[in-house]
Amino acid sequence: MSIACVYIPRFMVEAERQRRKEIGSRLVLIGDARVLDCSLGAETVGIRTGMRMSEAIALSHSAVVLPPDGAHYGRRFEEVFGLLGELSPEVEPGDPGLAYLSLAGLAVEAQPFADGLIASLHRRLGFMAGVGVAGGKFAARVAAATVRPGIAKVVPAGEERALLAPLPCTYLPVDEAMLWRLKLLGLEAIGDIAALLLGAFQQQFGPQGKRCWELAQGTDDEPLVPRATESSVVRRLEMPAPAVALEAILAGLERLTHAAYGDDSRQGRWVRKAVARAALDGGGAWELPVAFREALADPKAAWFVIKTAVTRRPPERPVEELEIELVGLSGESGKQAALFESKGKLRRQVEEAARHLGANGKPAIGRIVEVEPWSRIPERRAALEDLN
Amino acid sequence: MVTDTRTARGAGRPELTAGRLRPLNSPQPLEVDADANGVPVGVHLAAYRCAVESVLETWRIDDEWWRDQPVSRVYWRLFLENGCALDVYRDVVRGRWYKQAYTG
Repeated sequence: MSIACVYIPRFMVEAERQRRKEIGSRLVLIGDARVLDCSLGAETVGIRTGMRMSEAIALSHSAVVLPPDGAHYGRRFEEVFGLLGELSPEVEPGDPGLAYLSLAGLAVEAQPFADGLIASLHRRLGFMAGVGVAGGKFAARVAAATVRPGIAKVVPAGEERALLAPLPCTYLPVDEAMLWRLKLLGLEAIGDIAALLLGAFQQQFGPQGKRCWELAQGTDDEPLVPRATESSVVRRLEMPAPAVALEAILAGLERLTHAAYGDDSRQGRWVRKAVARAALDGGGAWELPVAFREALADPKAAWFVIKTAVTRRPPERPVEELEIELVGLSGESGKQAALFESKGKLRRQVEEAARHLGANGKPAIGRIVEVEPWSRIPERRAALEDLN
Repeated sequence: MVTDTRTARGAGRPELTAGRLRPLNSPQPLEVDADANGVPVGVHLAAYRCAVESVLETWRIDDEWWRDQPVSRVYWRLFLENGCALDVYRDVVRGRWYKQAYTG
């Protein structure tokens, strides 16, 4: 089975460069307290992802520092994912800018397929990717990461070990502690591990060591796990001017909630979760997932829950764009319905028991009924129906 | 002539009049000690006064302003020194304190 790995290096930086033309070719750092992504130029002066932002700025005073906009990167990656989905029915997403495609069952040659994939990504979305094709995910990933963007590398079957052998152990999916121990033992390259006996290596490093040894041999049976497609309804609203007042933000979100519920693609299904998002003035994003206790089909009830959540944790800066996404669409309300007439039977039994208890002077029995479940005033939401 | 089916349809069920429905979660008057800023510092429970350890959350509800008796409440979710959480509110219109469980 062949697997293709698509790797778009510095995906967040590339997404920002496409959105903000004014950045031009300046060095870019993305992150808050720590660097999440940085441009190639920033890497050349010693900046690495995970580094403290203060250290990174000290290394490059002229760099443009941008707050991360996870919602925007997510949307852009969804576009990439959508394009890959047109080429293969099985696509597994990885970190931002990384995805795996299964070529199993496709009547294509690996090299032309990979070249076409790179061209499509560049032409339609403006991203320059490296692509690696191999028998397993690890070798494909390494091949994609070691070629220049815009190049495809196909690893013939059985040559994975030769590809990996000269590469440093940092390519292996292991933690820092194991990397440090490998270095102490003088095992610098993946080929050094492949030359050892499995027993001795596994004795030192346990199951993680066994997995590394197998990868070094070119054996990789980790399956590709395609993402299950989940339908959702998204509505966006661009504010005419950056909104500061909570009332304005709530009004926008309320309109979006009703619009999303009225969207034809919902097809009358119930909603289990909503995600409110906002693009903030000056960059950055705000995101608030709101899970409903039970699936809701009524936009008013959903809006009450969303509004309560947003009021408690509103965006911290002026808002330029608002978005509501309804996810977890389901055909059922999530409530267990009674089969046949058991509900009526149960009611009759309870009423009968209540009559007996009432006759003996015991406390009355009641049933809780919803009156205005969406009300903000607690005592209006439910009442007790007397069953005596 | 069109027959009114409403009576016939509801004939088998008990009639849900206002008298058969009783309110739930009604606010209960509560004596609350507040500081100069109106922040609760202690509540008088059935048998003793309990100090407020911390204020977990506060929010305001203004509703039904078009009615004769508008609703204007400031809710406080309190953590008491006895280890319990308690929801109380101050009725802004009448200036009284009540306890009432609030679920979002």
